[in-house]
Amino acid sequence: MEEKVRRIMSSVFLVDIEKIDENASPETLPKWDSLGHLNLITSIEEEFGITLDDEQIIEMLNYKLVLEVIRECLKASS
Amino acid sequence: MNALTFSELFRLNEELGELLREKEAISLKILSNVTMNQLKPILEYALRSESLNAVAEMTSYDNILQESMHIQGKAIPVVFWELCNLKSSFAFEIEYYTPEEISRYAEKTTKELELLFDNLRQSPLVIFNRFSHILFTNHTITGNNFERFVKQLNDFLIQHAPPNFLLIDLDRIFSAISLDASVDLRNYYSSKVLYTVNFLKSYTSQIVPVILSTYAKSRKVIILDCDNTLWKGIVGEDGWEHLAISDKDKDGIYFKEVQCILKSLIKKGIVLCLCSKNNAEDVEEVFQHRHDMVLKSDDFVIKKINWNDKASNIREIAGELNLGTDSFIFVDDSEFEINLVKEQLPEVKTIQVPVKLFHYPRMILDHLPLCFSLSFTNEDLARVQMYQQELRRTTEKSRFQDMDDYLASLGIKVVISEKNPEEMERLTQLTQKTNQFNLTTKRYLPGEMQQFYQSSHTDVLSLSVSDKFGNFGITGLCIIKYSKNIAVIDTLLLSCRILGRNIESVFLMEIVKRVYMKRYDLIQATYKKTLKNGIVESFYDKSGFALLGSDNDERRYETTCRKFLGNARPVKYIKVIS
Repeated sequence: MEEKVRRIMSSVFLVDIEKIDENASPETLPKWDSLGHLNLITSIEEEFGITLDDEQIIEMLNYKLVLEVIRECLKASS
Repeated sequence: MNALTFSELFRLNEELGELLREKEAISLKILSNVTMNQLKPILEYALRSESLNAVAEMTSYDNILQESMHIQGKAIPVVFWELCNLKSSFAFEIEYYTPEEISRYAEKTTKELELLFDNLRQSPLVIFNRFSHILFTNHTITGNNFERFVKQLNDFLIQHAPPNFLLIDLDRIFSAISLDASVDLRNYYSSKVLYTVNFLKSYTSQIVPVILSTYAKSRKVIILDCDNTLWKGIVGEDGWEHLAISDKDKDGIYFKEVQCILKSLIKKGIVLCLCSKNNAEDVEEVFQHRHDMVLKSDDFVIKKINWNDKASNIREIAGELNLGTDSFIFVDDSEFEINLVKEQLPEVKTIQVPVKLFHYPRMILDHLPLCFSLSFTNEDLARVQMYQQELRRTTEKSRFQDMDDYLASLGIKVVISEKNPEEMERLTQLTQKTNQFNLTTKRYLPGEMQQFYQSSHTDVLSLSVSDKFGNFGITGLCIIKYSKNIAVIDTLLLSCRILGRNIESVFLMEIVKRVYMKRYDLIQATYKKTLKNGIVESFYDKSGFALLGSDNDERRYETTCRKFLGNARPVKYIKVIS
């Protein structure tokens, strides 16, 4: 799952996958603005087959939190 | 595009953008009063996949009118003007507005539309959506103010929009992919993102052909195969009487409707041509005798009915019409021909006749936007006549290019086997059915074939062909009769499906090798003319056999194995397995 998230992030934020590390956040990735966030959400929902509610979308403030929310979602749906 | 995830598309779009950077940019401006940012990569990607260096730009949010003033030159505006967001919650507030309030909004909006029309009148193409209410109204409760408001403004649009405005019917897209798949209310309320990526992909696929035909070249010529493309059946095998072409024939209606669509295109300046591997007389016979066929012989400006490869024929058509092949559409039922043209002439748009024939008319219809731009001129209309005149002035040029490269890429394999009992029935059938590539056209019955199998003075060789796309099965037969010191080719035939790949010369070489291995040297062969086998009239001449003599219907040939094999040039790209 981590690999998939890193791949998605590197695609939508247009950086090499190595740049997506534990500390990745809007501060380290210039393309992670509000529109970048929308593209990230679209891709996560599409590729993990989940639907995030609006609060979860806001919680996903950095790479670690993104993973956490996806885990939570996958657990709830299984 | 639909097979890609959004993140893949996003990445590929960037990569394509880098590749195309040197090409002239094609500018698209997205004007909207809802958030449409995800349209940018999708639209760019769809156009970049067609080798256009498309650059879409988001203009400032909810500022359609002001932004439209700055649009210049060849830029194409794509406008998303959502009435639901004329002001916040408009679609619901309007339900309790007074009639006066409603008409004030209608008046204000029509004024703004008129200004927009003026600002964008010079653009080559403006993509503008018809207004839609169905996202915000209920199916069973009619008489909504919002619904009436939308209808009123749509009427205004249809009456007053300048001719360069292409009005897109969003309701058609909603019905194609469903409302639920089209909108994301969660994102609409949080950030005014109304449309889903699914919707944007579907929308893009509707508008891209029109942009292509405006910006790049629109397609002006449709080149069609005959058998199983213009009609159902194979004229050389089935005869013109048995082709399915109209309502009364099984499956005829699909071909009739395709012909109706094509017929209507002639009036709009589209040039129709034929390119078919057939005897020209057979095809003319269809036109002469099948009065139930919608298209007539004269409807086709150029007919390339011959046995040359189709890419060469298409290049010749381009030369004769003096048009680039990038303005061509090619329709054929054969995967081989489609792939040949794709590989050699990638700029030609190819359409393969679908296996499920009921999709066929619709498939043709779906490609028509490639043929038309909004700027349609009298010259377009006169085109068919013009070409017919032009043709009389030009002389034919033949060019053969890269055919061997293409054939080599197919990985063709032929298997030659000798008197395989399992094949006997099929081989007998081939002698009965094969008309075109058949040197002597001797029809044999199962009993006769059985005798050949049992005789030690007769060889029965079968040919099976496959390539990387699939297996053609048993498609060739040779019967050789030995007497004293002469080998006589009694029968040599190939199914038409595999012609154009030089398989015939490989087969002949293998035949000669077998004869030589049996310690024979002299070979005799005959061409016996029929109404159908003109295609092999000079097969033995081309193969280096010496003509011994001829009368009206028959030509007799001779060669020796040594001479033949000494002169033969092997066909490197065909692998022989025996």
